[in-house]
Amino acid sequence: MSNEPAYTRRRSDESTASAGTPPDDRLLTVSDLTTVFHTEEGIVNAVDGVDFHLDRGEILGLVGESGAGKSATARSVLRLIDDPGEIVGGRVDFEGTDVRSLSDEGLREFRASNTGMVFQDPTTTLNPTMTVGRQVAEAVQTARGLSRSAAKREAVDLLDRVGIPDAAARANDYPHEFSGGQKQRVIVAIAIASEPDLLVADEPTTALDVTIQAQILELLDDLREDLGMSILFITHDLGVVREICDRVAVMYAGSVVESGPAESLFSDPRHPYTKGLLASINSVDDGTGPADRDRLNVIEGQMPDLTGTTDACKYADRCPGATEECREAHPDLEPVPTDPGRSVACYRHEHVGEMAYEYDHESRSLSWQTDRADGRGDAGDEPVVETEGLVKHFDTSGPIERFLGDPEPVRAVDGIDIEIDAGSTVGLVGESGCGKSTAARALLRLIEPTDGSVTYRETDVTAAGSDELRSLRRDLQIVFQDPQSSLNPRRTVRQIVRRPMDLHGIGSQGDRADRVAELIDAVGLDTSHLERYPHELSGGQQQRVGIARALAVNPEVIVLDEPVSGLDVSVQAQILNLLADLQEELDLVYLLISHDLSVVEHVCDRVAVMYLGQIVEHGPTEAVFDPPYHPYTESLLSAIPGLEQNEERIVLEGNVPDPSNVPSGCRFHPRCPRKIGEVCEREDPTDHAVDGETIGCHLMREEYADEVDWGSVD
Amino acid sequence: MAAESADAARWLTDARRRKLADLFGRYRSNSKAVAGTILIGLLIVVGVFGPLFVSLEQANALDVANRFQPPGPAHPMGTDHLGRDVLLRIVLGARISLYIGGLSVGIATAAGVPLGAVAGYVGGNVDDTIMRTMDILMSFPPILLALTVVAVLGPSLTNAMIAIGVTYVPYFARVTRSEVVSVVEEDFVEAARALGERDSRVLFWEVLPNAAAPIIVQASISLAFAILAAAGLSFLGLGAQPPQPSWGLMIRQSKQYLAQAPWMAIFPGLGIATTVLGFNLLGDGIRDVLDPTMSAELGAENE
Repeated sequence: MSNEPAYTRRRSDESTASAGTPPDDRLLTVSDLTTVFHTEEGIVNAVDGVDFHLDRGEILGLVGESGAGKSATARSVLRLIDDPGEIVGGRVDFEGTDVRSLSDEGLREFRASNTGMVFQDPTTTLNPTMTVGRQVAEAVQTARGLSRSAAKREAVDLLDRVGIPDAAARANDYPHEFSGGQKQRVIVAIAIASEPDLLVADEPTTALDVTIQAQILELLDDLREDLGMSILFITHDLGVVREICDRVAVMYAGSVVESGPAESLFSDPRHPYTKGLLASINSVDDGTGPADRDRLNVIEGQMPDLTGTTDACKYADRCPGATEECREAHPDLEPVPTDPGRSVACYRHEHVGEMAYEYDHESRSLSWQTDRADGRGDAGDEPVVETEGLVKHFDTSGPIERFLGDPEPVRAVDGIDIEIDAGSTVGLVGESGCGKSTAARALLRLIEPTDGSVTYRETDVTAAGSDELRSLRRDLQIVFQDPQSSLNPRRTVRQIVRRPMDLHGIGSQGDRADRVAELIDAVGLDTSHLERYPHELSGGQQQRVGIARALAVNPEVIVLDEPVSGLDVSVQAQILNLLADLQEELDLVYLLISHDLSVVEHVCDRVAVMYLGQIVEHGPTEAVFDPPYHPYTESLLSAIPGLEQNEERIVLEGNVPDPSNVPSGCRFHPRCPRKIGEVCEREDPTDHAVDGETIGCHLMREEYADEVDWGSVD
Repeated sequence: MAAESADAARWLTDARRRKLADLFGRYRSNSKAVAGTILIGLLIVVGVFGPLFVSLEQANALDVANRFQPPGPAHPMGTDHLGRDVLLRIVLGARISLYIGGLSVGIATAAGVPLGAVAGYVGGNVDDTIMRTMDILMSFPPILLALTVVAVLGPSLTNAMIAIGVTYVPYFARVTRSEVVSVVEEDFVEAARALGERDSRVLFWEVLPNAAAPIIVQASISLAFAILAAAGLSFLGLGAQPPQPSWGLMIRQSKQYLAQAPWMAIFPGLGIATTVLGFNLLGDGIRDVLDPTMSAELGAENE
């Protein structure tokens, strides 16, 4: 099943790669499209002379980091640019019609019957006060002028087609009764209501879990096959692009810097930026990765400001191969003579092979760390942090439910054991809603655990009194996912970094001033950043400040709660390298919470896989991932987009169940692709030690061992 | 080192100057805020400097021979039933109005903000107890509640202000609570806790400054309502007592002579209307300037 799209994709690659595509196959041609935004700081060139085309039945990936102008480009194509934005130049040709010259009436007609759009956040796209059936029916009515009852029937068909089970009944439900993935399916149903020729999908899977993402990508690919529509697919995720797109246009600072068939572009990038992006992602299957496994090759710096005009290649400042020639004008996107179907905007693309991204390994020691005498970094036998049977239940019931009976609590964390050794990193992975963030907060006692204990170097954290806990905070710190939210917008960077030292009375007044400067330097910022407010910094810089604040109290353990998932690919690599450097120099212990298995595999020494409040598998990273034994781990790995070996993808059905009503027996059994039978529903699996790791699955029991097709796992 | 700290000091002012300049730019382009400021500015000038030129004795000087004089060269706003100059009394009344507004809103803020902040921050039973009490207070019509308080404390201007202050406490508590509830969700609050900050410090240093914008707007609009309410109480004889030159009291006294001396009611009425309009415009304007999406920009100066 999942093999077929892969085959057709390869076929269409060849057809587009071969020169001389029949012109009647061409759906959309965008040439020299230019869109500006008028702001107080000046004119921002969000879309700067963009060229691309889209054939019928083709999926074109528009890929780039945030601020690259991907969304502005897609919106310009549909003329969805509002004041203060303005489309100032270029041509958008849709089947011979110039979209830019359409009248208001014509534009409405064009949008209603020829195009559909899917947005990033499924929750805010749907109207919460209308049933989904009505919302789909409304789209059908507008697009095709059907009667009310016919539109209603059609809406049910559409919901069924996008994979909403029991569509006739579900059509009468409201959006909040659907999960995130199902909402996105409903939005796809609305978008295809008019059977459009062009579907614009703007980061349609970014807000979803990796398992749900795989479902949606499969749906889009199927629909493309069935309806023969073209998809303009906007994403920052190169794995997703590789998974679903036929051709790719890479955008940087408002311009397309490289385009071509997906496979050839990924295997042989011609633009140094594409090359850098590919080097920054650490694929799980990456056998030929950087020599130093702990560091990623990064693109230094950040995207330039798009205000005003540029008189150099926009990428020159970050490019490892820039010469004088590059500083004269931004190059045009031109076809590569030796490689049909490929275009690149680089003067020196023939030399791209010689350009190498390197990571400058900086020393990030902190002067006051040398006089520690607490045995930090000593391997020892005892783990630094240890949790035993950690439990956090939330009681969500009100006084009336309590009065009427014993209500079921939300079992966010249901008895987990974690051990972290000195100087090591443990990863905690799972889908959203599996309780990993709650577990970390219970471990830090930011929320009071319901049961179980946490020990840090022989101190019982769970039993600590308030004064003892306050001093323990010096050793246990946290870095958050959303760097913007984690910094008080009213404090300057200096105040933010200095406050922890004032609070704990670390050093003298003068020492603290010096330490602030040293900390900010250690995280790769400079003293000019100290007097800025958080909103004046980029996301990556904000995250660096968050790390500096955590380091200010000189902790040994840092909980990293999705520290890079809110950041762009190139910035992710910078932050991961920084964290690795700091760990090495300062003998830090990390607990990394992440849904991104490639990050976990790159960074962690040991991994614990969490499902519904419990750890289903844990052990050394290689043992857990290679090969994955637990069916849940296997499914998670299989859902990672863009991996070549995913011949037989396991697409997990449904979502993580409600933690206030957990399934009996093995909690994973309702979704398990390798369920043995009744035993899974009846008995709670016990932990089995296999190959140095621990797995909680009935498949590991002797009597079922022959049920497992080990050939497919190994 | 000295050079460095001098450098730091310069940067400090730069960052703040940028922020303030930005805020001022948006304020200046907001016509409501500017109009409100002009009206309120006028009131403040009259309220502060008026008493330097006009004494209470002058304003209260009886001149029965010249009672009910219509507006004219000698008395630009006419005279009242006791022959007192209305203009002089209006000028002194401005200060009383500001005083009423300031004090009652001060009381409401001082009690309502901490109550709402604690309710929003602590949550649970504390939240329920505080907010349900506020709901009960709120369920009385404000003027009725104020009447009750004045009835207990006795009629005087100060007691009227206390009464009005008390009736506005729940409004401030509600606004503060709802804002605190959303700010508490931010990660920097958790970061502060993870560093071992005490709850009181987290609440008053990390949370409240970020919840200030809607409270400021609430205060500005409440000033208008407080002045109206005080005028109402004075009109009913429960606020300012004769011979205080309060605008509300002046309208009350004009009641019997409305047909023969309408200027006795018109000018204090205009005074109240202008003040209320001014504070309302200012409140609306501030809300636009401190637009929620820009609320991060506010208040470098209050540290």
